[in-house]
Amino acid sequence: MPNWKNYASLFLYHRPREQPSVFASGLEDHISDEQPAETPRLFRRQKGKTSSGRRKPRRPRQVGAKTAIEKKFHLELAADQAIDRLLSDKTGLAYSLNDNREVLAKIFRVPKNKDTVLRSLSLASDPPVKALLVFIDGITDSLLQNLAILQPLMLLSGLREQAGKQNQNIFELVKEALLPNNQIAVVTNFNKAVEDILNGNSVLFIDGYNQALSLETRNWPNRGVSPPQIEAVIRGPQEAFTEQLRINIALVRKTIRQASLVTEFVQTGATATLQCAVTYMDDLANPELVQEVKRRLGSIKADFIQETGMLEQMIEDAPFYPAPQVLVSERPDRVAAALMEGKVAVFINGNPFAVIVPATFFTLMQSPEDAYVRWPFGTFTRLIRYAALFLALLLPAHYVAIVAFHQEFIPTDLLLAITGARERVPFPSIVEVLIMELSFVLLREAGLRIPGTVGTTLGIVGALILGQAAVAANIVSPILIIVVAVTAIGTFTIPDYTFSLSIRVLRFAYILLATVMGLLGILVGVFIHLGLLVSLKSFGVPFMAPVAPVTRKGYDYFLRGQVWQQEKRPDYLDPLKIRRQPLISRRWLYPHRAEDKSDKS
Amino acid sequence: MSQQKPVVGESEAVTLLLTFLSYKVFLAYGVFIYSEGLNASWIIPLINTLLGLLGVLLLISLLSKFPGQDLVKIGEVLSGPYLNMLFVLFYLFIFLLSGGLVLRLAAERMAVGFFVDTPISLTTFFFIAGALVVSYLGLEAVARTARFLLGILIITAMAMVIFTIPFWQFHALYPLWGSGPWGLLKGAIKNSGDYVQILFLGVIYPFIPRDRLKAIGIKSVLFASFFMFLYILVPLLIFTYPSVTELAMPSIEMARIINLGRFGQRLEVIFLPVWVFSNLITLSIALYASAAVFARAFKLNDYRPFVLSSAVFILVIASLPENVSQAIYYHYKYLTQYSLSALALILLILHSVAWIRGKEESKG
Repeated sequence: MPNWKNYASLFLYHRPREQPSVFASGLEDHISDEQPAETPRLFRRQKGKTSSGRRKPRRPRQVGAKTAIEKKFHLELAADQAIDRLLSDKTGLAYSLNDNREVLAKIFRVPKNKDTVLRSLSLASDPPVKALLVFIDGITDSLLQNLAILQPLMLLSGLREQAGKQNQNIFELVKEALLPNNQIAVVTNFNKAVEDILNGNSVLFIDGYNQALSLETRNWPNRGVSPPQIEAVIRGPQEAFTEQLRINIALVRKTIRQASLVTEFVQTGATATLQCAVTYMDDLANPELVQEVKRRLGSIKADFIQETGMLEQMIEDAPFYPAPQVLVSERPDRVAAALMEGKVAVFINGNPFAVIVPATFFTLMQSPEDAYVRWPFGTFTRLIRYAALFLALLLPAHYVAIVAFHQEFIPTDLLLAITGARERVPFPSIVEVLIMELSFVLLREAGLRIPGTVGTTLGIVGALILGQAAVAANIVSPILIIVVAVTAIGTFTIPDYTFSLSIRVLRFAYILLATVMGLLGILVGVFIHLGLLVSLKSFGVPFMAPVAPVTRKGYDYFLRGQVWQQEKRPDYLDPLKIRRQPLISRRWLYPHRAEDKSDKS
Repeated sequence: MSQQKPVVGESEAVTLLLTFLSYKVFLAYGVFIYSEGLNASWIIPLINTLLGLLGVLLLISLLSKFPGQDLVKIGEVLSGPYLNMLFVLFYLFIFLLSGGLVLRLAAERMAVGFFVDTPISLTTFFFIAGALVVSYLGLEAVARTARFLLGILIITAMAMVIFTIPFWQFHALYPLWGSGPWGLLKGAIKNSGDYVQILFLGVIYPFIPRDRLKAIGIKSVLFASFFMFLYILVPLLIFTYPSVTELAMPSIEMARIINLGRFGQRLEVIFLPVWVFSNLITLSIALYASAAVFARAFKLNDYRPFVLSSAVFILVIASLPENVSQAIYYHYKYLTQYSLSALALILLILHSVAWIRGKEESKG
């Protein structure tokens, strides 16, 4: 018995539900909180005028004035700047192990960052000496660490006897006699230590020494990692994520070797909890975005979530809207690029995909290869892709509209060709189009399920049925075959799989609208579709940004600008650092302007 | 950005006002202007621009005294609930009538040009359904959709003008003064209501950047006046006076005569998006504006319950004229003629009350 109350509630008024606002600044339409209070100025002096009634001179905009984001997160930014200074000044290590630990914890954002391990140990000396082994989990060989570092130092060294016999320098002894690693280097400053740790080495700090030992333990995941299946490119890395969470994070870390790359673990679900890794750049990503991602993940109560697609449905803003609100990728380089823009990636244990949030329409239409080829080709490819989107969504609907309603719109010669081709077809255009579109959907679905060895048979059957037999039997016209084929090719050109699925479904809606009201139906459909898309948000970020709402546009949203022109990160993300590179990034062109002012900005 | 209070940027606000002011250029704009200005009808939109600027400056000066408050609330503060109810009725009259007549004229245009055998009620239903959904989604949705489509609208509108250049006959402009300076001024004052939709600025004022209020108002009027001027001048150049006075919808005739060789004929389909989208945006604005005025008059926070009722009003108004000629006449009689003067009168009353109360306050 259906619950009629639920259906009836669809027609009743619902008070609008308020969602927390994640982003507020950076957008053109931001109404600043600093605006004057909402009191009538009727009885007060006019704003912008002096007491004598003359207009005040306009105050020039201050160079280097703080943005809203800089003001809001000034503490976080100050901490980041202190770390940057410490590293760039090559500050030396301290004698105290605790001091070194504290600094390293700040640099690697521990305990927030679960990737970096600060392993405390006691050397087997008399009295015991405290030490600290620092490394990044996932990119180091743990067996090697256990056998060649921890075991000799803690159990097998005989340090206690040796230290008792002679007053020997423990640091030298450890370096020369106790660690059977093939490569050992002495590190004297934090910058070098951090660099080595990020490269997969383990660095050993000993209490009382302002030096550390960098030990070769790197174990990058490579080969065995398979090439991408869905997001294949010709140029660019040929690695894809695996089912191992640690390997996936290590693959990203292989691209971004920075201490501010943070991985946090969040338990999701209720019965069979799932481990999710939230990865972001601590000095770039908006803290409110990170918080919102963790909040949504942590608050999910479901029995069983095992795939990014299921997770996506649990965390997306608007489940009824016709577009995906997260970007799913199997490519470490794409995730790394997104993180460097200030986005957040979510990995799931046992799943070879990463969920990148927030997603916008323009990011869904981009392919990683756009950035790897020279800009004219990248731009051209993108234009072709948008044309393909138009064809995939609207071409069959236009065919129906023109055949059924607007024959006068096409030139006479073309009209005669179409009419001649349709002369022997007994069906109205809508039936003809639906037969072909549904046949194609069937073929596609069968192609996914069929075993690989008999896949070619399906291709032959499909080509014969769709291409030849249907035309010969006068079920469809040859022109429709071209329409359906071009539409299918257009659909496959859309880079994001989920987005192309939504286009496939929406195509049928447009066909129906065209059947009822021709081109007017299509245009009204486009208007509603646009209205829905511009009011859609992904984790608080407008889906159609930076076009609607209008924000400051870079050179990489619709067309692909040159790499050296892409100086700023997308401002609709409100990143902590907006500038990606200085105004003059190709210093070799201006060797005399090496210390350019643009660096300071 | 998932906040309750909508925020509309400067360019979005300008787009909304520009579309709401200039929707008429794609419908029956100029039908009465040509018979008042004769060969010099193109001067009337120029004089009208000044009147429009005066109107918008009057509105801006009132709004800027009440930061963040809309015209309905300001009216209530200054004139009390009873007198303000009359003002509110005027605002509703403007928005609902604009919406209703746009709906009727757009549907008539589709019926004449593209859907000869389709019942006009179905065309009307499609238009109102599209506008209803988007206006229900909110002011942000309307503004952003309009801003997204602005490029297409401007390019297509300009293409329609540029493609007709081979048909321009400059002798059509002579005699230069047409019906004479007094006749032109009279025509301009009579048609000053073309700018009455600037009233919408008073509805969206709480949601736009306050420091950009003046820029938004002035830019909107100037951009709209450019298109009004163009769409009076170009039909005059193409069809010449007095033939131009016989056209009910000059822009559709402009599109029909475009001919780009053997393959580029019957190109009016290319201009279909501009007609449909501009009318849909205008309808959405009218729906939102009337629902918002209703909500504020009844002191409700949410405008959405009134969207459907506004749609019913608009449909009823659209059904009132018996034919397209009557719809054009109604538009001229009740909107174009003198309605800006009525708005100016309301604004002057509110200004006077504000001035008197301000004086009393300072004395006190």
